[in-house]
Amino acid sequence: MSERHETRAEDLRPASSQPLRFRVWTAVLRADPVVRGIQVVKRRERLLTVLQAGLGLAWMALFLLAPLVYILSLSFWQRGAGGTIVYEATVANYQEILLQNVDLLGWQIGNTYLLILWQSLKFGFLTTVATLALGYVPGYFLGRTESRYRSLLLLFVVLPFWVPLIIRYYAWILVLGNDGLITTVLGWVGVASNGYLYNDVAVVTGLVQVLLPFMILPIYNTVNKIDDEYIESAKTMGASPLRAFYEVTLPLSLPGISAGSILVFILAVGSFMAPALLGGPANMMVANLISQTFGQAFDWPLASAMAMVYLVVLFAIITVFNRFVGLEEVFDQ
Amino acid sequence: MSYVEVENITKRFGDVTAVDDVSFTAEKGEFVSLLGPSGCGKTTTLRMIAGLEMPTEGTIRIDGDDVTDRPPYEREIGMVFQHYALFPHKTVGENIGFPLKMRGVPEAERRERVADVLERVRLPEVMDRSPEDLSGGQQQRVALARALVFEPDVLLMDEPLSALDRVLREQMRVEVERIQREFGITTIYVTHDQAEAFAMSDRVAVLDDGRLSQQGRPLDIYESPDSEFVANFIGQSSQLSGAVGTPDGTPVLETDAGVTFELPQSVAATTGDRLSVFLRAEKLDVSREPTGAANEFPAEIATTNYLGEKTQFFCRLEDGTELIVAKHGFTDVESFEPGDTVYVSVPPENLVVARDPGTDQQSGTAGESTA
Repeated sequence: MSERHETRAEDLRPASSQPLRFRVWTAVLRADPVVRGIQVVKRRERLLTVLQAGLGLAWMALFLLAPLVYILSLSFWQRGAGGTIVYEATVANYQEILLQNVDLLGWQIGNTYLLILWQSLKFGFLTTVATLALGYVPGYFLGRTESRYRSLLLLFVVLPFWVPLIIRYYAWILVLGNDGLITTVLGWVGVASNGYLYNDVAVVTGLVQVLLPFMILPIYNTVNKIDDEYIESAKTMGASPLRAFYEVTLPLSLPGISAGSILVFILAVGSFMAPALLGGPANMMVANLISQTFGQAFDWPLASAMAMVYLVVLFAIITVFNRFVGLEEVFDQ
Repeated sequence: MSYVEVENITKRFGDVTAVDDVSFTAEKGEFVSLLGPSGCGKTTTLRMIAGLEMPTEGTIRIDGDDVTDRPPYEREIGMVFQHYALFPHKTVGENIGFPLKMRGVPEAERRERVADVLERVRLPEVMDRSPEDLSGGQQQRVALARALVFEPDVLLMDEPLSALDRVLREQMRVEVERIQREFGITTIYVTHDQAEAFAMSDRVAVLDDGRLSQQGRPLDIYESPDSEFVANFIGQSSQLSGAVGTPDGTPVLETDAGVTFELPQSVAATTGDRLSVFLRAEKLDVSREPTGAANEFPAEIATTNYLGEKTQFFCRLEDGTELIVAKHGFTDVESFEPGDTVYVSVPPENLVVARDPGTDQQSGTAGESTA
């Protein structure tokens, strides 16, 4: 141990010729316990790996898994008077949100929770389709262009992330609102209108704008990795550029499309701020309902059950999607 | 008129001239290789024939048609790429059927022709597999089948064997040549490997720094290179430069390294000419004692390399100039030690002589160009 210690010292310049700060640090780092500690860790690279992984896993367990377990257990308890919790196991919460006012035979659903969940999925689906329609071409272009401005353009794609979400949604209020940009411009040409806020379209518009980068970036990423040789070889075999795109580039960019779609769908369905700011009472989404039930209604068990059902439904949808598209392939890339 | 005519093509990328005024031809059914070191413009030339790059200047004709401005999909070109470019999302059958599909051939006929071409490249029963499940050599055959199935006018190949290991590469050389002959297809083949080019080609065009150095049969290129670059790039040779003198009436080359060479009779030399001789490693003789042969001179062994099929002697002349001698089937290698003096000789007719373009050429570049 001490031999190694000496060779280390020889490698360094004479301590006196170095600034004090540096000397202090080298003295600390060369202290025997420190050196020994570093050597122990270095010798056990596996230990280091386990430590690092363990830290991450512990973090996940503490802040994701533990709350989840807590919410799961909450959902089987009851609400007492004044928002207290009665620790008595029951499935009444689930019955309420899944079966109340549901007449499966008459295909009539008057259940607020299910209707709002359905609306959330619908918004999620619409947002996904719209971002895909708007995002494929930019993603494809960024992936294929050899322009030296590519990094700059990519920066523009992520630039909105620098602006807080709430400000971006408020910006839409300025565009769609009563005295907003659109009504003003329409007013100039003599069309009177009353603003376009507080409806489905406003909510989905906001979601599309905010989530578009999550569609563009994965598509950019996969298109960028498609070897030029594939497209060139398609052309030498007689494929026109359009045909080469349809036969080669599009299928090879599918992993990016599915990754983007999954991301956008999950984020859109779980959106809280877009319906809260841009939607009306009729455009509530599942996150708003759960939040209300937790907060205003103070019914934690019921809200927990809602959260669990939402989680299961989302998980089921992703699983089905996975069956058809094969997500392993997406995350493999 | 030749079947493929490449006339004075030049390709500039900004300020860089990748291909500079290159012309060559290929007859129908001929196998022509473009040979040169990396960055010599051979791939760019091939890509211009394919239509993947547009020449800045010049004309390309295939079967009399000027195709210079046509996009690749309007030329009848079969191309094999360096990494095969087999579509990973399509089966082998769909890959090979692709050019037929682009030409509107109905599905049933497509399957038939794909099966037929797979038979001809000796790779039956892989039709429904994914190309990624095939070995490198098999992928190579699939790529070849895909480039041939639609009976294009010309087959272009861009270093197609470079991704394979040595043994497989040598097998595939024979196989590519067999398939090319069987289909009788005009082929232009790009490689940096001299052995590959020589083994397969009818004719070879050597490119250097964007320009065509020499074209001809492999034998002509090897035996009579007409430039210093070709002599150094093809084969393993050492170069000695000097001036022509006539001490005994007949012209001899007095090299700067101090060795005097009797020149072959075919070389017309006058006193004072600056010439270089290229000593092909395998055309030199080496012995322990002077034998009295023509052009014999002493050298000191620096190192020996026993390679199995041949032995290389790295020798040093008195002034330090290095020289490589290669002997085939040589087993007495252990008796030669570094520092030993040996006698190297070369018959005048085995000398390759080139005129020096620059006068003060440094002599003695032991050039090992291809491995």
